[in-house]
Amino acid sequence: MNTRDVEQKLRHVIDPELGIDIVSLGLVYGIEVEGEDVHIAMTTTSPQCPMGEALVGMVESVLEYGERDGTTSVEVVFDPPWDVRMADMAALRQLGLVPR
Amino acid sequence: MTLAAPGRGPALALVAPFFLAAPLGLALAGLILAFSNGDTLLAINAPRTVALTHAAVIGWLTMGIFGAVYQLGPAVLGGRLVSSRLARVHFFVHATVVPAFVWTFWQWDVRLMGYAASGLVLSFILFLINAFPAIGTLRRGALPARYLGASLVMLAVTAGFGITWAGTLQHLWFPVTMGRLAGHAHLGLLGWLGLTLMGVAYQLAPMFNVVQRKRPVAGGPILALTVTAALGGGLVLMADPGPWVRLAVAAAMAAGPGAWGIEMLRLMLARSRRTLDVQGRATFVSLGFLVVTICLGLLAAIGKPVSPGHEPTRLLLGYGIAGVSGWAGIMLIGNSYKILPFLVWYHRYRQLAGIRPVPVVADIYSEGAARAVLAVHTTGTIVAIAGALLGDLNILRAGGLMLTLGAALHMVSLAHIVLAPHAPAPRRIGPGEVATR
Ligand code: HEM
Repeated sequence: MNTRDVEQKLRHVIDPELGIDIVSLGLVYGIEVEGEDVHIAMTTTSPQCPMGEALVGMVESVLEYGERDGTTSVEVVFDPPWDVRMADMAALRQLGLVPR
Repeated sequence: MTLAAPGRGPALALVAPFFLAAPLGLALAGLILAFSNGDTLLAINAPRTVALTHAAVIGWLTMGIFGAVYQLGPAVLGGRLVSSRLARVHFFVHATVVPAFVWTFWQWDVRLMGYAASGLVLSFILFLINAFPAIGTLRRGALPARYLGASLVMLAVTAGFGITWAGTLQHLWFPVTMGRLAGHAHLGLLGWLGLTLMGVAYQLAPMFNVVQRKRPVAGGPILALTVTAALGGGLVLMADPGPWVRLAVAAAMAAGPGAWGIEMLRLMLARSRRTLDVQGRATFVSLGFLVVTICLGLLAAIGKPVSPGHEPTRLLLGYGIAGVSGWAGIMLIGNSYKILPFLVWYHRYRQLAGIRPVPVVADIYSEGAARAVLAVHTTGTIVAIAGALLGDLNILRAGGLMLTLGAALHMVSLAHIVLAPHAPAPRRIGPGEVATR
């Protein structure tokens, strides 16, 4: 698995409140792949986000789904704080920030 | 991994009954309004009006707020419940006592009122045992926790005066003058309901509407101002002051919510989630009613009594409906469509998410049904205010019926959230990709 594969998998993790995947939202700050081991640095839209724990669980689930030998670690960071400008065009469109 | 707020949610079966039962209080209040009689427009302390008030504030709003505190405390503020079983017992106590309490006002049976009032005090004690730890030790300095802490104290103070007034109605220790009535009423309305909703809004409005470019700037001073005005103003009102002092108290009481309203408007206008869902819409509508409430409240403070010895009843009634049903009520209705679906998602789908397609929060409630509830309730509130201000009993009654209809719709749509199966809607999951998750 390489970082692109991981990113593709993470696109299946949908923020349950916004209905947008976490990669498009820009919540994934870093993906490191060492052999079969994957380390994700991610954030949430706000530090008090009640979905934070659930999002981490979802990331772990999609990465550990199916046959894989390595470990998965997820680190939640708030520096830098998430900003909507980190989201991609499609996410901005869904948020209503740019016309559809 | 460190998360500032662990997403520990209480059981759905604990919180949902509070949200499902709350609209019953609104339906009851609407029905009482629909059965208004001539006294309703003549005296603000007419038995039916006091029954109506408590059905709305304790049966509806307080019941809903109980559910919200039990949910948001552990899930968002990092607190914990002392005992879930106690919270369940509390539900049954409150749900049993409220109809009895309202009935004693309707009948004006001062003896039974005393018993029912004691039951209500018990309900509040059971709540407070869980509520103080629930609002969090982790983030006690945070604005919402400070507002909620203050509002819980205000609830205790309000209930203290309430049981005293019920006691004196039975034992005739002293008269419950209009001023004493107004003091207790404002401690409850501004101190308990107002502060709670203001605090919860500081948490939820920016979170759900993705507000980042602006932060609350005056939350602390607004809290201090509102607590001082509710407590100080409430006590001053109890001394039955003259019109100018009443006006000064009214202005002081309006200042906090007014400034908070401006803050909310600033935050909401800076939101990154431009598409408004029912919670966002309800926030704006509720802010509109806050303006109406403040205007009517100030007018009522200087208003001419309709007859000697009476308050300006029609203005006060309109003011009360605007504040309770409009400002506070619509805020609660809007937030119900976030809090309850979140809880359902958390308990039913969190474990499955990432493994198989699950609905998102927006798939769990019907936006169309929620907007219909908001529209019917808003119309009912406007009609009832108009009926009160015009002194037209039929318009007032029609408003009451609409509020009951809105409450029934609200209850059905909340029950649907909890009981119905939910399907994930088709949505984009990656660039250029549309999939049915
Ligand atoms: C143990 C709890 C409570 C008791 C025993 C109680 C009792 C009473 C009584 C006896 C009156 C009427 C006095 C009279 O007309 O002579 C009254 C009025 C009022 N109470 Fe309460 N109360 C309680 C809690 C609350 C709370 C929590 C709120 C607000 C959230 C509230 C809001 C009001 C209002 C607005 C009025 C004025 C009603 C009107 O003028 O029609 N009460 N209460």
